Amino acid sequence: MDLITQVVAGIWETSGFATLQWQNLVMLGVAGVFLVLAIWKKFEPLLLVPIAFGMILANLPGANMMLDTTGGLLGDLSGAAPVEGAHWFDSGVLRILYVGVKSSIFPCLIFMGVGAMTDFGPLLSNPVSLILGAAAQLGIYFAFVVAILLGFEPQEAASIAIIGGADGPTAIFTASKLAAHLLAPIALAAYSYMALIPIIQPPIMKLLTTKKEREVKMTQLRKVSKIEKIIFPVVVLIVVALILPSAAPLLGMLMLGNLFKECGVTDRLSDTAQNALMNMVTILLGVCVGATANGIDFLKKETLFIVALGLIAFIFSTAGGVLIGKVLYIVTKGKINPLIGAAGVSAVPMAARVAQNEGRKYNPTNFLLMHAMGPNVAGVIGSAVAAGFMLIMFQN
Amino acid sequence: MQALGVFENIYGAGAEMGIGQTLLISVVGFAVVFIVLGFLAIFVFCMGKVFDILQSKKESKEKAAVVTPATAVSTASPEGTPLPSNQSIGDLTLINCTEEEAAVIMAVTSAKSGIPLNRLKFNTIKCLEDNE
Repeated sequence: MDLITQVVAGIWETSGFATLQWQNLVMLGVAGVFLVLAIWKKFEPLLLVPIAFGMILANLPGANMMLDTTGGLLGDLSGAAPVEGAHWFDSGVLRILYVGVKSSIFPCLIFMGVGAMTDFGPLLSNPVSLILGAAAQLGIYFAFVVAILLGFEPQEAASIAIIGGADGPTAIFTASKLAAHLLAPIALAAYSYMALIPIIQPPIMKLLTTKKEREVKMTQLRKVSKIEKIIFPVVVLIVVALILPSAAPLLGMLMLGNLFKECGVTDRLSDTAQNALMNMVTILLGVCVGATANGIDFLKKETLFIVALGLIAFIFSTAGGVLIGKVLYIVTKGKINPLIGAAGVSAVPMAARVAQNEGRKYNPTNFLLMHAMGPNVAGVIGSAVAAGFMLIMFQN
Repeated sequence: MQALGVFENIYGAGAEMGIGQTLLISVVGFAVVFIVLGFLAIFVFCMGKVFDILQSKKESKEKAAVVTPATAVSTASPEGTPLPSNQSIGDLTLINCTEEEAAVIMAVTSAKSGIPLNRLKFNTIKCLEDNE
């Protein structure tokens, strides 16, 4: 009888139930909400499903999926002491995979896939798109000021502010370099707000524009030659990397992927970058990011601030794009619809779709999608430049 | 980093920034984004202009090349009458086929074969199978 009692007690003590805390339960609930949003509401399912599942894995006590036996060698998340006699490969499987996040390999590979899927044609046919893409980075700098005022350190403030770029890989890249301990809330806020763009942006667009402005029909874009599409990624990389070398990893991969797509002789590489590789890295990145959201470390006042600052950054980025769109509307005597400025936040292509849908609400014959794609892809470059600037300023 | 003396004192974890420095960093950062993307906009604009000029020159050359042989055929016509400039030659019999469908077939044939419509002769267009 004693033996049975000891066995039962042993099973209980080693089970997750014995060490389960309320924070873990809350995070399991949050993961459940994310799964509902992803599966039934179709909010960014390719990202939210792996992120939510990573959150579940990280909040199962005893599973040790994120155990680090090296004392921080695999990413300085919780600063645990090294386990004597243990090797790095004795660490939790997700912690080993997390090296891909910490080293920025995953965000950079994602950018390669994004590049292979991006058509810079609309931007090349309307260069003013780049100005709108720059304007839509306003939220980054506004959120940075607010974050500093709230007491965050400059590195933390810079990482949080990049959420305003509406670019998940860039936010992860910056946070992993500047404030790895905030990676989980930053990544979750960035991807959550990207998924909520159709809800966040329209009221701001409506508030800042007149009916007449929203009805503007833009003229057809010029046809862009293949050579232009080949030259562009090479020149952008060289120019930006020379000015801001810290932006080179992201932009380098983005432009490499785009060159695969445009050069016409690397179809297999382009196909791999935008499908197989992109899917594999999305799974690994999503699960690892989700796995950083351990309830005990995650549920803090800081997390709420980050979520709020992310929303502020998104709102001001949208406003920045729309306001410069209004300026261009005046300068061009009504040829530019200010709504496309909102697409300057780089969530590709959701932000462009929002501009298209809003434009059609006020003029059913309007077709703004291709015009909005210009600022949209310019925003990707803009947020990478902004991240590069933050890294130059604050990287240790 | 030393070259950026004004920012030198804000590096490193735990560094504190005053509101003045924060605003300065924000303004400079926003300006850097505008300058870099503005430079790229100018580059893209200039590149577009250069390629537009090259394209228009190429198109005008191609147009000249297409017009020349057509004129030659026209002058060589046995009846001594010029060929129609924008339609096929001769009479066309349509069997179970509307004029619109025939026009589409002729246009597609011309486009796919690369032969201008005024150098093609259609005798009959017949619908072999009717789905209805």
